[in-house]
Amino acid sequence: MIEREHIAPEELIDYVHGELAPADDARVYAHLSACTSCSEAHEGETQLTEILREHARLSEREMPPGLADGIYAAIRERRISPWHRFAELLRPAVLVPSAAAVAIALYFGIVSTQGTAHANAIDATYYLEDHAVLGTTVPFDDGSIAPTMLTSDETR
Amino acid sequence: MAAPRKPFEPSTPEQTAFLERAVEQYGKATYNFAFRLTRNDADARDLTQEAFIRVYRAWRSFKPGTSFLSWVYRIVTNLHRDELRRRKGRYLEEIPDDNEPQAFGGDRPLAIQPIEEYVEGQLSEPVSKALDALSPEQRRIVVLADIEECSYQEIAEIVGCSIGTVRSRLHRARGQLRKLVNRYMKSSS
Repeated sequence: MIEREHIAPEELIDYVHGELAPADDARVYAHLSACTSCSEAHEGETQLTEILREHARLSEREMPPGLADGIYAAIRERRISPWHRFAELLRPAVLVPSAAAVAIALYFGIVSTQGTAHANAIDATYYLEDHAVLGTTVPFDDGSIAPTMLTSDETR
Repeated sequence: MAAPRKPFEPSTPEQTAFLERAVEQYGKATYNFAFRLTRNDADARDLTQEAFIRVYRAWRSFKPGTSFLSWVYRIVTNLHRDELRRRKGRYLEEIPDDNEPQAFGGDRPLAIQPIEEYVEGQLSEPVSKALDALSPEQRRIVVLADIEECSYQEIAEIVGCSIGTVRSRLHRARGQLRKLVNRYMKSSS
């Protein structure tokens, strides 16, 4: 059955571009075969597309000479060189945090090195064993003068 | 074209080969597409060059088995849109409101007259002028739908909008185009 209502221009454009669902496509196809007015409108849409394609075909251009070389040259130009890599490292955004990180690392490195050296120089067991034992058994037995504070403690 | 000039890593042989093959096979089509959008040679060259630089940089993101042209057209379209925004003072990009009623050309029957009558010179000027007179957004859609023969789905992916938007923009653009072609044909006859 052919619909009495004409095909909307929007639907006709979708039809020309093959964008209608199969059922709608079939309905429009059937309508066009029986409706002169819509058939003319359809012809107009088809012709507009053909004109555009014909125009595009006639005005098609070759790729301009030198364009491909220009693309390759632009890429070479923007490629990172060793100097650019070095220069990147000198940027303040990179340099300042890097310098700060190095300074912090050096600081903690030195502190930890000193701490380790101190700990190595005096063995912890010395306090727990030798020194404590010596202190309680033979205080000041090495002939040294007893601290005044201790002697006054004795007199108290 | 004022594009950001970021340096990038040295290429691998595969990357260079990919670029060379892309330029060789699709350079002409890309340049023609860029020309149809920009309507002038200098901008089309710049757009093509910048597009292939993007292709080179992002070559790993290309999925084998998908359409290279769709990919490069999307790049060209985005670059062109960015460029138009940069030149805002010179070109005002008209983005139609898709909710507005569709304006179809009043002089609808472009039809009936056979195309053979408009061959070469006769056809070329009015259509060329009409395409020039379209807004960049309308021209983009018409070029993709009618010249490049892309589906609405492909156009939506290239342009970055919904299929409904493609549809309404195409309807409007064709109405406008028809009106303009008729006007320029009358003025030239």
